[in-house]
Amino acid sequence: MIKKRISASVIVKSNRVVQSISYRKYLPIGSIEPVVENLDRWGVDEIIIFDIDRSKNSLGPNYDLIKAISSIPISTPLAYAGGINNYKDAIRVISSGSERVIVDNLFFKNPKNIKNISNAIGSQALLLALPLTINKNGIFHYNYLNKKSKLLDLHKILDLKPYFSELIIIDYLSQGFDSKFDIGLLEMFNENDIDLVCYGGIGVSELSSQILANKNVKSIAFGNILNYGELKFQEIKKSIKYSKKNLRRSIFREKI
Amino acid sequence: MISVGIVDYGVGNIHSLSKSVRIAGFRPEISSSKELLSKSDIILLPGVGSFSFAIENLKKSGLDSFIIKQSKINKPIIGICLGMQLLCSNSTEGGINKGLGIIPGKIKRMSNSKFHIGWNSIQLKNKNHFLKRFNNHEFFFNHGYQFEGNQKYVIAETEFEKSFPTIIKKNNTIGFQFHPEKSQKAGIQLLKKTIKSISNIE
Repeated sequence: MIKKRISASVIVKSNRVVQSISYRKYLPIGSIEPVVENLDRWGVDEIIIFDIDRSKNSLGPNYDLIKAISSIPISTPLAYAGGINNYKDAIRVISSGSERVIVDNLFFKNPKNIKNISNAIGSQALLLALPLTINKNGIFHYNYLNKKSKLLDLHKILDLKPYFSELIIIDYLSQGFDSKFDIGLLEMFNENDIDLVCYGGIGVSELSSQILANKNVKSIAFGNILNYGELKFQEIKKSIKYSKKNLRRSIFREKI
Repeated sequence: MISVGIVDYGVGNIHSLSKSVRIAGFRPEISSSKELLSKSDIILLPGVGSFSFAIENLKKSGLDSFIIKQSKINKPIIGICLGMQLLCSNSTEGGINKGLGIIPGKIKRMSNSKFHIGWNSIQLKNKNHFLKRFNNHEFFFNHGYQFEGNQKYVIAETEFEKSFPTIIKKNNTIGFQFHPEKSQKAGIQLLKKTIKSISNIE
């Protein structure tokens, strides 16, 4: 049986890991290598890198950063978001050491390129990330480049569904807060068979189990909380009440 | 030290694979040169990509006929994920495309157009196989297409709605549908055991 994943997200800004709060405030953590090395050692199910200033500054993906991470070396699956604009970028991101690539604004800016990327690297290797928020008028997508929110058109996502494998739903306003992820964000996708990764303010509480219980949710991602102590991942995994048989057993210190 | 020639054909996570081969205790050599690859003890065909794009790249570089020739002289070959699928007869991904035909079988879309992404365990069919200690261990998968072919080539299967082949082998060619290089300790150990076993070099 395929297991639901407990992933780690790492926010990178100007080549340094930061703690991000609601996409507004950034607190420094440090160099990326020790952060990723720890996550790999702890046996997280996947590492998701959000390199947040690459698109904003039109820098393209940071291949040197990806190579530096895979040179540590790590043997944990890696997904990378940051400045990917076309299929050539995506291929180079993969050859540099990331198994999956994530696009966000490209979805609105140039959906044709999403198809081209998918044709080159396969839709299994392509994820779509959307910072979202919900209010009484519906679900809104936040464009972090122009800092504006727009009502999300589900049909646009469904049109592109054959070209990506998972949708990362980011409750960006809850990012950096404990147990604030708005579970209402999942309702829009309940009628549609879209595999989801949830991120932003999930925290260690009953909420994480509730999110994992949703049939479309394949992974939940933790970010800032993982920086608060040694073996934090083990602590989080133990505390999740969701069916243990649907989660991967802890492999830390496991002998093969 | 056993040398592992990693085929660089413009598709695949060659950098992370190279690091994993090194951790496993072997000498990786990333190359698109047939001459260099033919000197290595083992050929490793990586793959993160779509079948149609990948086979086109292999054909353009002439690496397709090179790999087929190497299999005919019984050179040990390992295919990973898309690399495994390329070893087969054909695939429906991106239209119907011929593969290398080293392991007979077809690559088809998984039922209900699902993706099989994440950690899942493998079940070995023959409990005396050299990979027996990895029976029921979990590995990282990332694919939407699967192998369909004669059971005699199937070494291990995985449960996802129904069982499907996840390790296939013919003669000295072996394919893994999962990513050992991204499956933490178990993956590196499996890679190590496989390379040692099929290379016949101690």
